[in-house]
Amino acid sequence: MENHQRHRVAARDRAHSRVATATAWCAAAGAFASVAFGVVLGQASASAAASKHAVAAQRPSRPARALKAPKRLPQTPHTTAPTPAPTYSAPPPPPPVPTPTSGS
Amino acid sequence: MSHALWYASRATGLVTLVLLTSTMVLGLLGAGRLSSAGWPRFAVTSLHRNLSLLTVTFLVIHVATAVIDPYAGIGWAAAVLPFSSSYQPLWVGLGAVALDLLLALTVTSLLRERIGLRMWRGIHLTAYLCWPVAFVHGLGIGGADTHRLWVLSIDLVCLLAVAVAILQRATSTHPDTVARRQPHPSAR
Repeated sequence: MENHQRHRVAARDRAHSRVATATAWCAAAGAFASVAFGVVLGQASASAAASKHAVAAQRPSRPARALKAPKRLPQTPHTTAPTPAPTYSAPPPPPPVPTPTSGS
Repeated sequence: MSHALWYASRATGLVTLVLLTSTMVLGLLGAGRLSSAGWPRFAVTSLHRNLSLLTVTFLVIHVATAVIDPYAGIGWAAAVLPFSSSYQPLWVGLGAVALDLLLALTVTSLLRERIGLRMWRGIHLTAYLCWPVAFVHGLGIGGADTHRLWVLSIDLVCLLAVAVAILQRATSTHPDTVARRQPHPSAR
């Protein structure tokens, strides 16, 4: 009877240990898969973008999903018209220097 | 940096789906009284509980990375309040529904002793709603990623696993259920 009890306790301990091990493995696998999935998704999107000659500044694979994402206005270069060079007109002639008149 | 956040959100979303599926399958198997010598029922239930907490952990990372990523502009409120997001309101809304349901399931399970078995069981039945909503959320918001073969394979395996587990649960007849259905001898 006591032997049977001891056997049951040992089996319960083994089951607890299995649960702890399985949980730890699942946590590790989840963390590893998160990194792996992220890398694979990133690489796949990058290669897809490269094949489409996407602009490096654009986010790969996003346009397909980001239907309602706010769009940035295209940045256009400043088109400032060249200011014409100022035209200088000839300076007005200096006023005639009054000649001193001798006293009349 | 925001690229990393975007891919982290997508990746943790996939992992969360796999973990949620495992939790769902274990819950169904446990409810169907499936056990073995190496895996008695209490062990199946314990693993189900541990995996559900792990699922919530990955779900928090999934939501946090999606919210912190400035591209989509999903706020914390939109992550919790269904259909209030300006970015893909339907798919993000379904994700919010699944998040709320999973949080409710987890909290009520942690408070099971206090709220009573009947109420806990009633709320726990919403798990049957939580998984499909989360699944459809992943399919819808995944966009181009969903069409990748390996992502599609993960989705299909998850769907198949849950379908088989539900079938097993529906057809399982265990001594507990049979005894409960039979009239008590003293009532005769």
